[in-house]
Amino acid sequence: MTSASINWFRFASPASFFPLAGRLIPWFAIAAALCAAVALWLGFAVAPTDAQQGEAYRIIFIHVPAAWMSMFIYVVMAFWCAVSLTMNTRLAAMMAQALAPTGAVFTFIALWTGSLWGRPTWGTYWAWDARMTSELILLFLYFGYMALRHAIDDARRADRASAVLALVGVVNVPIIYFSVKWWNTLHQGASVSLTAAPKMAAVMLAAMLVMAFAAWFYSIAMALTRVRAIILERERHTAWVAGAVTAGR
Amino acid sequence: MGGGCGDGGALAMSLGDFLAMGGYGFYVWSAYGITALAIVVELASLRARARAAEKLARMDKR
Repeated sequence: MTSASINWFRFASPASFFPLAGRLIPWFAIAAALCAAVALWLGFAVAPTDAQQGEAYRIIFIHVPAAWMSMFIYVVMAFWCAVSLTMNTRLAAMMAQALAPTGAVFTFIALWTGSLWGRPTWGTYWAWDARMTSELILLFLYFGYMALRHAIDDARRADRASAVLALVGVVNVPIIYFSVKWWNTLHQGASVSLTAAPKMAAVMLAAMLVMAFAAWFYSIAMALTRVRAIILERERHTAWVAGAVTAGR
Repeated sequence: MGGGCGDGGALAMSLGDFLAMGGYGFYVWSAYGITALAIVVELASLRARARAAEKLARMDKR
């Protein structure tokens, strides 16, 4: 180990992570806004009308990235819950706590936009098929996680109880993802997957992927902002918080 | 030729045509509207939470 190498474990402490997160947030926020603007331009000005779905398909540019994010954030949240349970680290539990509301927002968006796309395309706003039902369960898992945290006053006990809930709920994510293969669902199969060529025009795919990047950067900016608030809420009695608040970092 | 909404591209079409979204305007704009609303609500509530947390931390320090 040379003296120039960075000790990454240093950032596992809330005291050193707090200013780092503060410096990173504006960059992720700018990246999110830029990607969203480019994606909207690609999606509305460049992408042509779909031959089968007409203009209704433009909902897909937000629906698919939101649905991806809703599942991905849950997996990341469950990962931090596992870290907090096994290593008993405060920051990991705080990260999980910071991700849940943003995950719930993306699940909400995925459900609503899916419904508004389903009506003109399939003729119904909602069906109790496996994909939609499991995505709705995901929303309830986020709500359950947040409600359980809220119900327990002692933060460390809330960390452990909600981590167990989040980890049990993670089985739902592969169910959502593979539901269109395992069951005969109204929801169509994946148009984009890692194993096959995308089944859509390049410019439509580009609009969707750039919007997915916007969703990523947005989630990171939101999670970092929220984790800073959580750190202040939970560690405000410590000496370093007093120092950080006065220094305005 | 990648013509945007309709044949002439988004720039060549009228605002009314653009908003109509080929008859799917209600669905498309509701979807984008709900998304924007959800994001605005999340931003506002997070901002309130961050400010309250900072205020509490300052008060604690006296």
